[in-house]
Amino acid sequence: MERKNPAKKKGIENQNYTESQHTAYCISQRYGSQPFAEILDNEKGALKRREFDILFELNLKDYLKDHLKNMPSQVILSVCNPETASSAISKDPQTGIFLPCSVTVKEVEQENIEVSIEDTGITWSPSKELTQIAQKTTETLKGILSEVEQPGMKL
Amino acid sequence: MAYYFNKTITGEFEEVIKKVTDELEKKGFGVLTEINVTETLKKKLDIDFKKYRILGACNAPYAHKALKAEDKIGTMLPCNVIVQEMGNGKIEVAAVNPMASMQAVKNKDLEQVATEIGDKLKQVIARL
Repeated sequence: MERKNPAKKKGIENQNYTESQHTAYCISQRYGSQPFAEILDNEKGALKRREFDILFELNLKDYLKDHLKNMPSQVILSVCNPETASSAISKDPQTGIFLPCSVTVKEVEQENIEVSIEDTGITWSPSKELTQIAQKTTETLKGILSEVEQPGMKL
Repeated sequence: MAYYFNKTITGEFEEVIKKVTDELEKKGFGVLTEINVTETLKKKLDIDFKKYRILGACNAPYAHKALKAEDKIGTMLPCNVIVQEMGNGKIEVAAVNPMASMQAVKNKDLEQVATEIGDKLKQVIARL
């Protein structure tokens, strides 16, 4: 499906999103059978089952509406597992900088929804004390990707 | 590369939070989230922890630039600034160094945006 780019008409530089070839910092998967809202709900359920609290939900489309018209839906969830956060901060007090973890849901096109989880194995790598916790957190978050697409799932 | 810019100052905790928030605002960053780590650890795990706050800051025009350069960069937003009590009236403020965080990405366009955001955050810390 081709998207029209209204920005072009106004002479603003091209605002089409090109897909990244550099996604070392996150792990993504696309889903084609459910609408955005259902994928988002399923993702929240999968996070809660892993004892991740959703501390904040940023609707990027709303947030950037003055800068970017017709942006496809995108939500950033800031999520945190208190046990993990507590052990990370006790190992390196500065690691609050990396918290909470981010998980995004993005509409690539209708019924093609992309979920990305932050790869903490990479994003927390500047702190050497966190290597093990970071790997474990990535593995936990990765599990969500296989639970996001579950038709008719009740939360 | 250090993954944060920091400064230790003397002051009252809540006043420092306000000062940091004001300085961020001057550089175009809104504080979207404020996580009270102390309260969260007490409530969830019954752990007594020093005063520690995480501010999630975001500058919309720069967020837009970053998203254009790198479509999945939402997983790295917002930028964090932490404020923590160090004892004896000392408070440390640290802001993420986006250059360090974005190193893994290896995207030249994004590096440019990260450098600009980093400079702004560095100035915020310097003005405290």
